[in-house]
Amino acid sequence: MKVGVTGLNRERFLNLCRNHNLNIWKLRKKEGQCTFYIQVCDFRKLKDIRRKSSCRVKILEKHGTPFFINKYCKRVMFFGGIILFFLITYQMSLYVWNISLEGNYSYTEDIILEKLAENGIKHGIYKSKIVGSEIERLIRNSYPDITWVSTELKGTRLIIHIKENFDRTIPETEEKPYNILSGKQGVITNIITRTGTPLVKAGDEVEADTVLVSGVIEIYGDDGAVAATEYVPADADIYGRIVYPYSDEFSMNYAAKEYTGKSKNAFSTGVADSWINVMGLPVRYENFDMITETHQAHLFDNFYLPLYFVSYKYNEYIIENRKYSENEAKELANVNLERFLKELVEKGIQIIQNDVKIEINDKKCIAFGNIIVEERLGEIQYITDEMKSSDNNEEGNQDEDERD
Amino acid sequence: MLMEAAASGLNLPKDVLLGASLMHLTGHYEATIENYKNIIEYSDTVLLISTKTGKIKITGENLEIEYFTGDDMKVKGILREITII
Repeated sequence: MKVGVTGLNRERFLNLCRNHNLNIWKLRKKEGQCTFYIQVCDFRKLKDIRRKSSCRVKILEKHGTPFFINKYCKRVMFFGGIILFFLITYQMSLYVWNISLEGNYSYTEDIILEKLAENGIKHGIYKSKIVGSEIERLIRNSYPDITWVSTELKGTRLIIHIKENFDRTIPETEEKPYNILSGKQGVITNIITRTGTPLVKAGDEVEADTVLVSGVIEIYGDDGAVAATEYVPADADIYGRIVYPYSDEFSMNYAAKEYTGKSKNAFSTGVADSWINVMGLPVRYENFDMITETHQAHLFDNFYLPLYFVSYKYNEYIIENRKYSENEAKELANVNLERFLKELVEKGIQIIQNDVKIEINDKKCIAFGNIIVEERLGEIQYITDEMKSSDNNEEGNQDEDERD
Repeated sequence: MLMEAAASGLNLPKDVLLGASLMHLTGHYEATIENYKNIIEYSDTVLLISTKTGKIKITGENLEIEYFTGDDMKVKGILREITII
C-alpha cells in the first residue's frame, strides 16, 4: 500500500516505525506530505505510532491480490462466465464437428458422407471413437474405384483424402482362370494378347458374347494331339470400333423463367440440428429460386464448432410459355450432343465419326444418328468346372471321330 | 581514545568497537548509511541523521529514501554536500 503522512512530527513517526521494525520503502517528501510504501500487515501496526507522533495517515494506493479479489467479489459471475467459456470450449473440442473430403471426382461428398453416416461416422461423434483404419477400409470396400484412402484428424475436423482409379484395365490380381468376352457388338481394330489364346483378329465382327481371348491353352504333343490343357486368366489389350446409336428429342414449346428482379434475403442460425429463423422468413413469392450459403463457426482453421449461420437469397420469377426458334433448337440439340460426346471422351473412348442429324418440325426437335467410336473392349467370364468338363468331352468326341 | 587505539592496534573493526557509521557512496546519486541512530530532519533538500559519534547532514536535490530499516538506509537523489558534524 502507498500511504501519505502529514503532521508536524514526521521524523518522529519515521523513527518510531524503524524502532518497531516496520518495513518502509520509497520514502518521498512531496507537497508537505511524506509518502512511502508499506505492507498491509505493518500498516495495521501504525495506529499507536500515529497517536504518539500526532500524525495523520492516509491510504493513497492499494496493490495486491487481496484488494483485487475484494474489488471484484461482486463480479464473480463475470469470472465464472470466463471459466465456463473455457470449459465449454474444451468440451466441444472433444467431438468432430466437420467432415471434409479431398481428392474425390466421380463420387460426390454427399454420397460418401451418407455412407459414413450409415456406419456411425457423422458430425458430433466423439473423437476417441474414430478409428482411421476402419474408415479407410469401409470406403475402399464400398467404392472399388477408390484406390487410396487416408484419414486425418485436425482439431475438430476429420479430413479424408481420396485417390480414385481412372484406368479401366482388367484387374491382374485374379488367380481364377477366365476368358475375355467382347461385351459389346462391333469390329475389332487392334488386339495384343499377353496371356491366353486369341480367337479373333483385327477386322473380325464380334457380338457382345463373343469370346475374344480364351483362358484355355492347349498344349500339343509331338503327334499333334492335345497333350494337356491349361486354364489361365486371359490378359490382352483389345480395341474395337463400336456404333453408339444416339437419339435426343425435346418439345419446341417450353416454359421459361423470367426473373422479375425482386429478391429477398433471409437468415437463420442453428446449433447442431436445431434451427432458428432469425429474419426474413417466410417468403411469399409464388415462384422463386433459392440460393443457400451455410457457414460453420470455427476458431482458426481446424477448430470447428457446431454453430451454423445460413443465408438465403430468394429471386422471384414468373413462368412464360415460349417457343424455340430454329436456330435456338439446333443450338440446344448440339449442346446436348456435345455433352454426350464429352462423357464418352472422359471415359477414355475415342470418337471416330459423328453421323447425328437434327430435324425440326413445328412441335418437336429430334436429333438422331450413330456415333462411331473406338474403345477398349473386355469383360471377364470365369471358367467354371462345368465349362472345363464340357471342353474335355468335346476333345474326347473329336478324338473318337478322328479314329473312326 | 583507548578504544580507538585498541581497534587500530589489534586490527579490529571500528564500526563494531567504536560504533562508527559506515557510508557507501555511488557517484553523487546514491548513498548507503549503516549504523545510525535516527532521523532528525528530512525534506527533499536536506537529510540530517544522528549517529553514535555525531551527526551526518546530506544536502542536495530530490532526496528520496529508497529504504530504511533498523540496520541501514539508502538515500537517492542529487547529493551536493555531505557534512559530518
